[in-house]
Amino acid sequence: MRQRFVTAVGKFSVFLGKACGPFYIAAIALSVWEVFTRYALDAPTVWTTEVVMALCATAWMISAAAVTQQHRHITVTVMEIVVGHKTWTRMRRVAMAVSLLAVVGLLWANWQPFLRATAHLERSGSAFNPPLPTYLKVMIVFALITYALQILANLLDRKRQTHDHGTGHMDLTVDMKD
Amino acid sequence: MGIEIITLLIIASLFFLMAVGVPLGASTLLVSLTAALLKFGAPGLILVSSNVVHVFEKYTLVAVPFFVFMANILERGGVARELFTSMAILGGRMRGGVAVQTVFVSVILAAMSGIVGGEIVLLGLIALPQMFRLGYDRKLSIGTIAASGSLATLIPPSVVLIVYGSEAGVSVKDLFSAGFLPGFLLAGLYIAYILIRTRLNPALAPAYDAPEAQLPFTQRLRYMTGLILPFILIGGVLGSIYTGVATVTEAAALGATGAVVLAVLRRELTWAGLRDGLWSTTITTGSIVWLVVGAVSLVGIYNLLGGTAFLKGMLTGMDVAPIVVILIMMGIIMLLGTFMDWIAIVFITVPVFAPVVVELGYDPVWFGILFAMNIQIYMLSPPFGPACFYLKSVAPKDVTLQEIFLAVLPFIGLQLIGLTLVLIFPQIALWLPSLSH
Amino acid sequence: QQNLQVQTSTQSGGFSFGYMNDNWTQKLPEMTNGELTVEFLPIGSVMPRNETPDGVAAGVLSGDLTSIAYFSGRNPAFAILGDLIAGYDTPQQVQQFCREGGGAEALQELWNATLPGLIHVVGCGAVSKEALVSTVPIRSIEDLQGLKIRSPEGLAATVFRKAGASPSNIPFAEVFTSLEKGVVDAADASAYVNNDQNGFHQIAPYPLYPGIHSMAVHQFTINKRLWDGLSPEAQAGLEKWYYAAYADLLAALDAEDKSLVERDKADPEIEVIDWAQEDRDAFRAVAVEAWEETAAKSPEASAALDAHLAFMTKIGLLN
Ligand code: NA
Ligand code: NA
Repeated sequence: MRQRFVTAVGKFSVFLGKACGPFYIAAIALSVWEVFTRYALDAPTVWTTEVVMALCATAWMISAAAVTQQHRHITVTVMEIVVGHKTWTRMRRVAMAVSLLAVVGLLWANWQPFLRATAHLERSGSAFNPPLPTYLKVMIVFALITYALQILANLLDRKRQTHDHGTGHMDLTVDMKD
Repeated sequence: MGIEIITLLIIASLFFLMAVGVPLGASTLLVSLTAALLKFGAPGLILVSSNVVHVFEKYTLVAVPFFVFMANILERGGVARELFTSMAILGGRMRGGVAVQTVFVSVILAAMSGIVGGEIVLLGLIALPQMFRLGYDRKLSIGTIAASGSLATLIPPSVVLIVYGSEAGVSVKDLFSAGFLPGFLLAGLYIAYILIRTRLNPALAPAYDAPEAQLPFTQRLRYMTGLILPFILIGGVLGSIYTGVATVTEAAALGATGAVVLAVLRRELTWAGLRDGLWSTTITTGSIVWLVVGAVSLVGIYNLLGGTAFLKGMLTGMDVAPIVVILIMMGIIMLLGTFMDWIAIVFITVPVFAPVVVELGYDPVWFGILFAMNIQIYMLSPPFGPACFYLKSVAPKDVTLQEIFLAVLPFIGLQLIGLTLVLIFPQIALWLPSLSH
Repeated sequence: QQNLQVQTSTQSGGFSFGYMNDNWTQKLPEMTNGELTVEFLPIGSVMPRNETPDGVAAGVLSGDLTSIAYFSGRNPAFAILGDLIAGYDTPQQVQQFCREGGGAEALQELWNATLPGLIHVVGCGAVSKEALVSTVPIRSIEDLQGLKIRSPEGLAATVFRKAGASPSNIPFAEVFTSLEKGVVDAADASAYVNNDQNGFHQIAPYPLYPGIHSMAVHQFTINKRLWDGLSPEAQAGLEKWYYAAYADLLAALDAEDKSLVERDKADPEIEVIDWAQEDRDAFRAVAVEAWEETAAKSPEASAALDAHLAFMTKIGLLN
């Protein structure tokens, strides 16, 4: 039962992470399009900046769970050398519990703004005027829930904890091959 | 409670959480949530939530995934391998030639790429095995790759300079112009160091035995073709920024598109490669953004508690020469660099330091370059030295992290010399931007 | 003694921030019998610039002294009270509108509708008029036809479009190169002194001064409970202090602008263009359409425009 929860959450997190790719591709394509239409056609748009922003923001938010599933949040791991592997494994569990507390705390902090933003649509106020603030305040709540679930899954994961070691400093690298 | 005590408490709890192994982003978040709750109760949480959501509206950060994606595609596309081969003809039969060639390749890659990581991985895969095979000194080989591979965030385009510019309110274009010469200066120091050491002790670098190097000049010229495509890409990215055709973010998108086109033309990009590249971009960018989220949330509450005013007052109130204040700020950045990611350092220090720099009568563009050079040192220095970690991830198994950290020490010395030169002669940084005004 | 922590809309290195700190922070205790002190915080330093009212409502910030137009996304009424494009001729008129013409009351109504019972409006007003920078001479409304202009903001962009120009949303940091390379012909940038500092006039030598379009209106609000807890003397003193400070800041900024304009008028490379009153009136007539479109978007916006129109008619700007 426990391991089934871990697997299911992990799969969903990876799915969300994979979904980010198309968002980035679209953001890149739109930015290039804007250069073309502004420079070659002399017809700048008022909407690309904010659409690109929304695309990237979505990817950033929903990638939290995948980053967590891959254990790739930037972490200082030098203490492993000092305290030894066994103690470090126990400390990692504490660290996950603390991370969960931080993420749930942030979810709590965003709850009132989320309710307000859904009760009354907030727009950006620009010439294009999309409801970006409301969108972001809704998406962050979704992202934080998936983030918290994945930390919980990592915490409950028996498999990973027994044979996941030796990564050591590798957790620090931000662009390593998986 | 005075702001001094609060500052110490914040630093102590951050240190503790990080040491336990809590990710940097979650550590800073927890500290800011706690501070907000202690000071204002539940209503104070708005300080954290509003600043966190605002991170996702920072248009400057859009350049980050674009550059990361570009680096990922270049890494898979084989452009770098060809570049490295092309540059072999420069070396000829010179002693230390492959190491010098590595620095040249790094500088060209740095002019394409805005982030550190991809380059070191590439050079670690291509140049390091070759140098080992040719019998180069291990430490010299490792140090050369880690140090010159880090130049990507000093030589434009640079994500470090983009983020500094947006936080300090300084023109990114000026920062880019200012980054060129200091970047070349460091590269020059690395080359001089390689040449001097290999002349003094020929055992460090056997003469180059690549067959291409023995070809007649006209045939060697053929190998230069590998340089054409990278230079088109560099011209496209930097050219579009300097002609005003594109904004910095749009230029990053142009670069990413160019890298894809290049890889497709060379028939080296598969669907699987593209998917991998996107996945890697997602994870890397995600880990960076969620770190920024934490750092930014802490800055807001700290400002309200009077922290920034306190630090500013301390820095400007000191009875010392202004340059000493600059040195102290450099020291703080260096200290933070031993345990914190660069982007968190930018978001925490720049809002305090930039106004102080202006108040002291210095150019914030110059300070931005000093900042970026400091980040060069941060990339190499233990215990948190990202460049060393990147290299470790692709180096042959028998290369240990300890060996890498020892190997980069002389190069940190060279970076300190470069930093000192720019500190004493600001014109090294400011001359190029002054031409455009 | 109560210390007011107020987030502003200016950078810590900016002229206004320094001027207020050097000349007006120490006057507040004098004017409120030592009951109040004030601490100005730079833009975005505690909260994002468009979220300060929520901070003030929560009591986390004591108040804000900031551009009303930042809140345009919450209700179009904030766009109308925040910057009535091409509406007034001088910032003095706007201060008069706020203080005596029902402006502050209209803003209070708007906040009562947005965050009921949480925000008290102490006052509002503009301190300077934005000057337009241009690479081509713009002498009248006809010259706006087909002009490529940087104008990121909602109402301003609408007005320029109605006047026949083609507005685009380019970040402020890109204005210089965009003008230099002809990506845009003109830019809605900032006050004359700031445009001068950014070197815009070197590449766009036809500045419009006094400007024709934009005048950002600032609000000074504080937390309602905090306000209710003050003595009537402190309340009156705070209000008096704010309007005195803003009138003085206006004069200081005006002097800065004027001395630069005098210098540039003597410069053969730069032509400072000043629109005739009938051209300004013609531009205002075009703008009225855009005001009315925006006002139609919400009842609060409509009420806000009515407040403006009543005052403008009274002082003879409209008939
Ligand atoms: Na670079
Ligand atoms: Na370091």
